[in-house]
Amino acid sequence: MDSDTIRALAKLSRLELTEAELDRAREQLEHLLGHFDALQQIPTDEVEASPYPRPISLRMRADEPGETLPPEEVLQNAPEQRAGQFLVPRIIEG
Amino acid sequence: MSDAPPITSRSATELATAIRDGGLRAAEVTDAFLARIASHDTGLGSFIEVWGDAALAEAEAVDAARARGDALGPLGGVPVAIKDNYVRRGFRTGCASKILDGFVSPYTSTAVARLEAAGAILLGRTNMDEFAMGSSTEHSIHGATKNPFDPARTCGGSSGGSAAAVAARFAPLALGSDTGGSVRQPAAFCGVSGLKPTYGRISRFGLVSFASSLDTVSPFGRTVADTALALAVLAGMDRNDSTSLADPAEDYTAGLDGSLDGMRVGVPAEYFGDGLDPVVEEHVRAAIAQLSELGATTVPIELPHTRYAVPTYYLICTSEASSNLSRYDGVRFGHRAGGDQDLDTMYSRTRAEGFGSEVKLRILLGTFCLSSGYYDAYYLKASKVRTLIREDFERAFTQCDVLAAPTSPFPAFDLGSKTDDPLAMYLSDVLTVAPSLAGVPAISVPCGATTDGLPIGMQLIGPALGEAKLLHAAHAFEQSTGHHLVEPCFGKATS
Repeated sequence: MDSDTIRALAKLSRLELTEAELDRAREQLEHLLGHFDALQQIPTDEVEASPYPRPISLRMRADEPGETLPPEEVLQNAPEQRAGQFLVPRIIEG
Repeated sequence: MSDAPPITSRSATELATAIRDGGLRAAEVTDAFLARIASHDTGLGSFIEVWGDAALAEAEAVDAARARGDALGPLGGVPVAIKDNYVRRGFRTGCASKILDGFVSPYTSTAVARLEAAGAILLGRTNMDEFAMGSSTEHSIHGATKNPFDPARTCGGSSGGSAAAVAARFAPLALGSDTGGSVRQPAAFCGVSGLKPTYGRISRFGLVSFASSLDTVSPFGRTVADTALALAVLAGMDRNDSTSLADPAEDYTAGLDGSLDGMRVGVPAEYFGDGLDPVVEEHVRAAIAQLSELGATTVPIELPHTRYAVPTYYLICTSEASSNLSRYDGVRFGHRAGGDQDLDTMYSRTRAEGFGSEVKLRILLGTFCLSSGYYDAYYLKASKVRTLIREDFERAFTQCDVLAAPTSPFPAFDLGSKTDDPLAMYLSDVLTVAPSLAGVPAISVPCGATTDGLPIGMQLIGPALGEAKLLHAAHAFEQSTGHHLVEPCFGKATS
């Protein structure tokens, strides 16, 4: 894993890491992936993937309105809020 | 002076009966556990927060209900500790992470709601590895929880706070969560019972997601009967969790007694291989011989894909975690990095400040496994090997009723001995991750101790929805031995 790859992963992961943290993460991931590569020796072309432990069928329910949380309770945990909405840094200049 | 055992040494089943019959008041029971936590938990660190006033008020409500002649629920007045990854309306949940700083839940998880409806008294939230990522309860913003049998050693993880609390007689029951062994391994390290049910047997609604195809709500008890009692309260379908199973829950406490005549116990060769501590092997093999004494027959079993379980598990769980943890962005709840910054920098800085090193590593690994160009070779490959691992178990359960194996390859390890080496930590899960990938139930029960007094656990594994059979075997074993009665040497129960 080269330094560009680990930088790209940190960006995709939205993690602001220092150079030292990036280096350490790269070493650790290389070490782990080296061990995990053992899986590549198993033939699996004819094997179905299991996204869940057992096949799960989608269970539909009646489309009926239920109770929802009051907006003020949902907003109580927001680091910043204004006028009943979550507040984030400005994203459109103007 | 009464000859009755101290309140804090009694099982949940005994306490529920005594409270129902009027021999004990719920308030005095809660008081006894709160007093023991107050006097002894400083050195262990099993609780992050104790809900003392709320717990006493709940206990008094149970006593008032009984005085009115109301029928009490199956856990009426029984104190329960809750891992810090379940939400409860009006209470804090933190997942032992800075990123959930200050979060107070506006709703209650189904597991906690079922405990409340059964009359349980919730004592507080217990320590864990951050977002349940770890095997030692050292990756916590609150510091490590120590093992009640030896404070220089880990209590296991990630549900280590709950395991230590039950072992230390701070609570007769506790909720943990088991994704790849996070209840069974700490149960083994702390000398208590820990049950991971079939995937979907208990609703995950309100359990903070780590790896959604693996996470299970899982109880700890000091006896198998208590663990069965907790499962009976918790199991069942929930419309808020589409992966919860529609199969009806059973009365898991009803079929515990009886001999093991005719039961076939499979012994998987792969679970007794390289890296297994000889002392652990000796005790687990003796426990299997004891199952034979009780009427079971043993059958040699092969689970040939076991050696691939750790890579498969870590590729899948980190992939799912990288997606699940994307919700922590500093917008709707928890920590937000300060300073004048654009939105993207706010996200990245918030997450860098809020997550610990192990969580960051797993997010990076999961993002790698799911990213373009690597998905087929890692996530998809692991999902296919998962099928092979499940098929191993399906074949095994055509030849036997339950499997018996060690829970952990070694007893509790020294604090700090694996925190700098993620691979060494991950490999400690080698015996618990395969049942998780297959979604089958498994329980760890105490089966002995090292010469230093460190507990050793035997893992019994059953087929999907085979909890009743599993609990029957575990209970028969436990009742024929005294391993579950051994108390940690620190502060014997006195109240």
